Amino acid sequence: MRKERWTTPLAGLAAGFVNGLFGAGGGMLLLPALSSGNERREAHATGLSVMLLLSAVSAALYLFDGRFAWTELRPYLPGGLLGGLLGALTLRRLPPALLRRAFGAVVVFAGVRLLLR
Amino acid sequence: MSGWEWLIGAGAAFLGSLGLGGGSLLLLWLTLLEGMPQLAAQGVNLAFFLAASGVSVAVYVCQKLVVWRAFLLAAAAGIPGVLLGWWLSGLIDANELRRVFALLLITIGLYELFGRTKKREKSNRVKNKCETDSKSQKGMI
Repeated sequence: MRKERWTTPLAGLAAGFVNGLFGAGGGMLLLPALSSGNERREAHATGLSVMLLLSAVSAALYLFDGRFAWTELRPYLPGGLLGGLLGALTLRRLPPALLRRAFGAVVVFAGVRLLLR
Repeated sequence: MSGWEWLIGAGAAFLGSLGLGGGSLLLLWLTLLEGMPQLAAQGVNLAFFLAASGVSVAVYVCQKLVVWRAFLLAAAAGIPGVLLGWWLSGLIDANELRRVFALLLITIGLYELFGRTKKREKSNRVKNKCETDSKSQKGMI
């Protein structure tokens, strides 16, 4: 069994906070912590699984608050299910170094966009 | 339902399933092009992520790519974080926090983009355990 660093629960807490506050972006804080102790693709798969659970809690709270309706989601679902499956089947084929650089580029882009908003 | 919604849904889910921030793409579309209020868009984005990444996580569990110990540690700490973030989202104007978060993201992104590649990141050592299992089962027959 691999030893997890103390940064994993700390990053989990930060990821949950960001997800509850902004509705997205928590995974971007979680992945670097998970990547430091695990193989890159395992880190991405684990990070996504954590974010699935945390997003379920966040979505339930948003729904409870009446902030959105399920019907608004419907048009995006068929493409979403297809894209989710294709992406999952692609992950194992991607070289870890490429995955890391792509993640870095996406995170810089998201940060700059957020800053300029 | 338009083709654009299919395409945006598929693109956001594809990037999201790779852990490459697909949620940001859908949020951008919903707020800028659909004109949805920010909090409603955040809710739709969260619910969309549940469906899309649910499929991906099922595949990753089958491929044994999920590290359960890390999952438990991060998820257990993450749930109180979600409650705190959600509670604050209804109370405060999150603009200042957004700027801090943006700067943090840029720092993380630059480190990931230009940081030194570790030796293990150059290797390709993760096997498809689903494939391995099915091959070994065929061998047994």
